[in-house]
Amino acid sequence: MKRVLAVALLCVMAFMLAGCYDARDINDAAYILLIGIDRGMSDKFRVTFKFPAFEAGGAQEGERGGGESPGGGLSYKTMTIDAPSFNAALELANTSIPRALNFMHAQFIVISEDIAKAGLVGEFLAPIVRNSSIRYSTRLLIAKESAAEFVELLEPFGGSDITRMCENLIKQAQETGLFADLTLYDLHDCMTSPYHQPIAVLAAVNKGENFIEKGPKWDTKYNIPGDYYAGDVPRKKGSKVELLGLAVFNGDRMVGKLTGHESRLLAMAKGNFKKGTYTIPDPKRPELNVDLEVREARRPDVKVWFEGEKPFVKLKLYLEGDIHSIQSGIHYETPEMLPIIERAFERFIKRELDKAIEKTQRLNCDVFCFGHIAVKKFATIQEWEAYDWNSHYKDAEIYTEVDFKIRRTGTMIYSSKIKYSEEDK
Amino acid sequence: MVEQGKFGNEEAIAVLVIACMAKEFFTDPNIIVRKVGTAGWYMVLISAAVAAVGFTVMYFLLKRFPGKNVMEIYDAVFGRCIGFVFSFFLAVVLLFSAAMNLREYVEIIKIYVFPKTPPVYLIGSLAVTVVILSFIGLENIARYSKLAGCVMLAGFIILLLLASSFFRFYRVYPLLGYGLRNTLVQGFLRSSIYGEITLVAIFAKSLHRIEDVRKVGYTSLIIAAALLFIMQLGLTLIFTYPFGKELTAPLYAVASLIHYGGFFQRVESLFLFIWNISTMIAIPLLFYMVLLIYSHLFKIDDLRPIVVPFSVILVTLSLIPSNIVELVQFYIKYLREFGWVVFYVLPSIALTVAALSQKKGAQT
Amino acid sequence: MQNFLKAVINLFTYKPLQRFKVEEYSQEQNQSFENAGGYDGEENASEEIDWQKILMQAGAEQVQENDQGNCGAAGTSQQANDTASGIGKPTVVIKRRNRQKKGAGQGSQGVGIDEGDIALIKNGMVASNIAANIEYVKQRFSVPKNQDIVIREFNIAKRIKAFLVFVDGMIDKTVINQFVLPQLMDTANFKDFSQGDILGYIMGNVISIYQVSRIKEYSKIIPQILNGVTALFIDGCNEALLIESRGFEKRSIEAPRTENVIRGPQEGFTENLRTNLSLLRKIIKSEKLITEILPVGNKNRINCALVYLDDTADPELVEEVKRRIRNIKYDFVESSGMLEQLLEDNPFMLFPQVISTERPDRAASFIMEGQVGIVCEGSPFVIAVPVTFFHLLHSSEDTMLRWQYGTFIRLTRFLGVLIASLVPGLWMALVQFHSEMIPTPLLLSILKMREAVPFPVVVEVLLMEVAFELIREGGIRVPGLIGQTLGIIGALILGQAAVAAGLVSPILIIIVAITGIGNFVIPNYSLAMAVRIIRFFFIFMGAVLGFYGISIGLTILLALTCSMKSFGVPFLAPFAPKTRRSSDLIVRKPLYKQSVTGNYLDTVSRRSGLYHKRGE
Repeated sequence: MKRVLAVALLCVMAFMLAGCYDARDINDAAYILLIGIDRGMSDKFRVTFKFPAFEAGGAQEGERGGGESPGGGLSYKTMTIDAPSFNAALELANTSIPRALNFMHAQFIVISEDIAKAGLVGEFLAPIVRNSSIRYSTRLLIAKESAAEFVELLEPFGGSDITRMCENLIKQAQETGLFADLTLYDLHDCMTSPYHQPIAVLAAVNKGENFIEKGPKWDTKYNIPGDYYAGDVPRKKGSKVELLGLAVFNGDRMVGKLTGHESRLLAMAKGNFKKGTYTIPDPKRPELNVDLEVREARRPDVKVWFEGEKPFVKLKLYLEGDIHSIQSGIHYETPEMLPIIERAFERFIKRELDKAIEKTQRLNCDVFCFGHIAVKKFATIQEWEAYDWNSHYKDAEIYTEVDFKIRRTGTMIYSSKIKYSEEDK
Repeated sequence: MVEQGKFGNEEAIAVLVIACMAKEFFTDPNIIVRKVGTAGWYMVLISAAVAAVGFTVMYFLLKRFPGKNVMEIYDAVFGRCIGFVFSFFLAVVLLFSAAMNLREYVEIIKIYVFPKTPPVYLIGSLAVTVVILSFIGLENIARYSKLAGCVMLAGFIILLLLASSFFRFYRVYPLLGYGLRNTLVQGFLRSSIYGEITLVAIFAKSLHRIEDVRKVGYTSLIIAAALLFIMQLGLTLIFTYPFGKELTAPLYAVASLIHYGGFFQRVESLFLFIWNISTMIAIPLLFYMVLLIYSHLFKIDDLRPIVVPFSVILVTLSLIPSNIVELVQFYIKYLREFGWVVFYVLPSIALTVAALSQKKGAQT
Repeated sequence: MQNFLKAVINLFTYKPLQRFKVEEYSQEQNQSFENAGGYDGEENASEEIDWQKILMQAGAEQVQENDQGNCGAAGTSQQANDTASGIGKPTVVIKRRNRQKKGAGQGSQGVGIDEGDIALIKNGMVASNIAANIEYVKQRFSVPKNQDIVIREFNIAKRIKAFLVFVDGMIDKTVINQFVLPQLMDTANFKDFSQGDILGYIMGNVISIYQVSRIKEYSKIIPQILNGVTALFIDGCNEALLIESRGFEKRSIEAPRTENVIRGPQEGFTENLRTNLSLLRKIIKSEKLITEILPVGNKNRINCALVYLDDTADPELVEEVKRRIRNIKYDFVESSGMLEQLLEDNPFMLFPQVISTERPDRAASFIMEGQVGIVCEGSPFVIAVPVTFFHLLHSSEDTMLRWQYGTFIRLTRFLGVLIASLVPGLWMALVQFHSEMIPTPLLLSILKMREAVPFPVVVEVLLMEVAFELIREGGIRVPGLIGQTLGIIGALILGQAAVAAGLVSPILIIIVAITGIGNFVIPNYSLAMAVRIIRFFFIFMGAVLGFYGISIGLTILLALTCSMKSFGVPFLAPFAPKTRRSSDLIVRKPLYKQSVTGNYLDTVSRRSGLYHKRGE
């Protein structure tokens, strides 16, 4: 009995040593929240990390502030390092940062445009994906000029939590449709896939250059909403960073960009569109416009058929919407007049959609995911891969059709005319 | 021969299904995608059909000799020497399978959860669990697996439900994968996935009647086939076939994708419990089967003295492959592709010989 | 294993007086003869040795009596002699007794104690000669040194000698004063009695006590006297009359202290056996309710009663319980707590294998299900065997309320068990190995909070857990209601102070508090203790290997629990081996759908009125 106890005790003590290896205290790690990757000057890659500053606090601060949240007063530190690869960057970082870097909580990976254009994304992502700590659900952004600047300037806008800022920024993709919620999983999936080509969200620092302070006022023409690339939105102040539009990749090389408006059309065509606002010229008085809130009514109908090697695609979108404003005051809210707006919008969307599709066809990148339907015509993988849909995309003939219905008109069912004192008819 | 306690049908079904599924949670779905592409989800059904045929053979053999387990049947049909060889072969394959399962599990855990821990702790702690469970006995392993099986089934379904937002049906196409013939051949070869169902023959004495053996066998086969079907279908719907070929542990990747808002994300460690517990039932079961066969071969009454030495053998065998590539491409590949010989072909030889030589057991 | 068990039990027992050898006795006796003065040395010597032997025989017979149970006469004198030589008795007492007895013996020598009487007394039977009986009784009880025992000599109907023996304090004085002595002393009652069986005459015509019995053997009389029964010895009669006269002080029925329910009876068991049995009988008014009373404990011999329903309980179970109780070779069994430990299957298992309750309604529900209840004198707890894990989680409140509320409460309790055992271990595993599961904002705030703490997580958790255990244990000693509140509030205040001092992080206080609350939800005290111990095991496993370690811990614990048996019933029945009627575990069905007996006990069905065959 004593021998059994002694042996058991020895085993238990030896077993306790197992905790020495992987058990790390949470305070012994630096949790990287944002990663930025650029072309380096002194070495191949320039990697930027952002992590929370290691300061004590907590309960005392809560007492002082009264109803303050315990995360109040969090600040962040950034570090940029040049290294030959990602893993080397990690190790080099530990020469100065006293804690081990941990990527489990990374929210964004920001890649600069020149890396993307040079086709280095695949090269860069290969070790990241193999590493078990970077997760497939991390979001991926393509930064316009410098990822380091983007990472540094991404700060919480109201509140002090970067995580919530990142989550909510991405959530706006569903509210407006001007960009998409894309993760590393999507990118990696598309990069290796014969079905479609990858896209990634464009991001940039908005330096306010487009916001013209002095000069003549804009005249009656206006832009299509969201028809900008990231960083070009004419605004001042607000958050320093901006997400807008999509980048189009061929394999792992970025070959083109889509504006916010085109991204929305892409979302519509793929069936990911939730809602967005459109401003179209009033059909009867083109200098004024009509605001519509548009939603997807049904998933779009896509048919693909082949004649020989040439694919034919027929795409039909189903949209529905509400009228948000009729600036001209014309009484459109009758069963006879409503179809005028509907047809006008349909024509508008069809025109823009054709333009967008043509743009992608020029780039020979099937980001509209027509390949998903085309594959149903093939029986085995060998045939599908031999056909190579991605190369045939530029030859495809694509017919589009839009179906739009207005459902509600808001709280006004009739617009009374605005009366002026001297009748100006 | 050791005395075995009796347990009911549900426990036997639970323990067999868990033993069969536990090894599928790791690298196997990935290999299936590599072999047959997008046709994995119905390939497992083909394997199940082949396994059903194999199990029917085993059931007829058991029915011919009611009240005996398969080692005694081999002895009765072939005589002591060849029966010894057959049983011994089965024992060796089972022990090796248990060791490779153990190693595969530890490798996957090491990649995702314990990068720095030396594998001896992980293998050692699992070996200790195996020893303790073997001391407790098969009856109690079966009862415990019934307890755990409900929870794990629920967890598994929840995992796939939560990941269902990533399902895209285009990923199933092209439907035939790499060709129908390729699918059929691979399906046939991979039928050893369900080989553990035939283990019911080894503990047939613990069930009450021969009809129970039939019910247990077919029910567990259907359940295992359904679960594998769902799993493979889910995986195909989430990962396109080029992507799916890359992943070491596809289920782990699925769990890591789950992301619902700022709160419910990165929860794959919760699903780690499912894999842990199912492995901790499957490996002791296989181990106990080996002990039962061994005790029959050498006429030992009590299992307790041989448990610890066998566990040392298990640990040693599991340390044979030098890296995960060798493990997956060589050892597990041959186990899976040729395991069916032991599970299905041996009983069919026995059945043919028994039918030809008109040997029957005492019918009750 | 046996020796180890004995050693552990020895550690906790009341040590008996020192033992002396027989040879030393006789030496001292010879010396005492000379001291006492002149008398007939040889005869006295033989007389003393006689009494000694007889006393020894009596002691041995008593032990044998315990061994053989109620039935069976005392062993032969041969056996008695053999055993007598091996037992050492306390000398000093005998010496003095011998001296005093000599004085008394001298007096009674002349009365004529003949060989027949002495033979009877040697055999442990009542002698006809009253002098012999008085002597023997005085020797047995060490009267007059022992002032508790009263020997009241009187004459029945002014002519027949008789004496009463009783323990003062254990009897109801009115019985003796008003119902025994007056009636026996009154000659009017004995007018038409002249010859014959006086005892029968007294039993039938004179004494108006509700329960009397005639006994011959001293081995039965002495225990009854010690229990508070009065014995009447009559000259010329070789039987004694036992008169029921119990009436000692006892606690009145109060509300049960440990188990509180909102809606249910508020009567609890007391320390008195008869009261407890009557409480049970009030609830189960069935003629098949059997009460068997067995003595337990070699030296202190308290009574314990087996209560079961004859047509429901498994006869083998009853036999097994009786066998175990009879085989308890323990000198001092104080209460049902010790009896519980001596009866259980496997003393090394963490979970209790008998269930104890202070409430009669709960005990009655166990008995109705076919379990055997053991009511032990001296403790207000009644134990029931066999028990399964789910019994430990039920309380009588579940059945008193409607099924929705009962189910809800049971789910809460189950959750409490899980929380109390797993939460600290999971926290350790989460923080050390799987920190990615924590949502990022929470993680960042935890980082801030723990930045100032100098200890690693393991030390923090163990510190707080040990402190909490100390507070809980200390809270039990504080009297009254303060004790219970001291537990949680004290722990929280201590925790707050520790946080302010920067020793622990605030989130740990919450973890410890949740664990403690989860523990309080468990209705059974033994199970709550077991869960407290299991918690430390999980903390260890979680700290060493994270979720993998906790899985290993869960597997080992659950597998061991599955293999536990309590009196032959698997511990996780009816879930683990599935039997036909296995509802009423976590979710309670409405009463009209619930059957009463649990099938796993292999009982006969009460509903159908037929007797089921075994194994169906």
